[in-house]
Amino acid sequence: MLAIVGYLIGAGVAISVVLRLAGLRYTVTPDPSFDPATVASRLVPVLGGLAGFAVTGVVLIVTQSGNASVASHGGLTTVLALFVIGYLGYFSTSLLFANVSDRGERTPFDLGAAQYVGAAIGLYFSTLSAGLPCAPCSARSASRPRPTS
Amino acid sequence: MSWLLLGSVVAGYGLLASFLYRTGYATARMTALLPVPAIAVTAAYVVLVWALVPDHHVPDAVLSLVLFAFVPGAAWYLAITTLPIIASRGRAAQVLAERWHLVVIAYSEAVLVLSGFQLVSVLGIA
Repeated sequence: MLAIVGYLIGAGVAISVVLRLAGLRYTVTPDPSFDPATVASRLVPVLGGLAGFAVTGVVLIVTQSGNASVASHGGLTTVLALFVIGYLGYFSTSLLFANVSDRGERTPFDLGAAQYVGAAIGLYFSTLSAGLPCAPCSARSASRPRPTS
Repeated sequence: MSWLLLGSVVAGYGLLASFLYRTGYATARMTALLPVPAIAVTAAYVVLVWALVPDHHVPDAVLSLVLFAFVPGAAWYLAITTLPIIASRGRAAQVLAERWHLVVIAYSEAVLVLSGFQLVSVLGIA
């Protein structure tokens, strides 16, 4: 709970600073050489593969949790939750990329660019979430006593 | 090995910055400045935890932050998936054209702060 309260306060402060820097009068001008729909369609299979990797991680951990040395570790729930969040992140981000609109008629609001950047922020967070399970796993292997020869 | 995560967070920001810049939602200056408040806030969090929490570590911080992140993440998913419907209305499209960049910048910053908090929690720094 302390971490969440700290995060809410910290995020509020940081967001107010960057919004002041961004300003209300900023005009969004996309790079004309960048086609969000084409790039998004290339990213979808990559994210599908990563989602499959995360699911495989969950299945492997659940299968191996029958092993007493793994199941007795208190961090198992955290690692499982991190893998599931990573999977959901990759899956939902791939859906967002798959729905990026083609550039049609010129309107004041570039829908394709907005959808693309929305998915890109999700991709950044998903990559971090899917990488987080490695930290408890590596900490566990480091703290495990080494066999003496 | 856990410090590899730090590298992935720092290097991964390059891709996000590139997407923000190329879609026009941030200037080059803004992409450089976005991580600064996030780093400052994360450093302040670490200092506060070291000063106020007895063993310098918030218990179950990683799990609670990740589960909490699901709430704004789901709201963001809903917003992006319904964006085509909202943007099809003339007046709403005009408002989105004028103000949506603020929402994108705010959410990007929230994600960066969350990444910082998760990183210091999972590395055992705070």
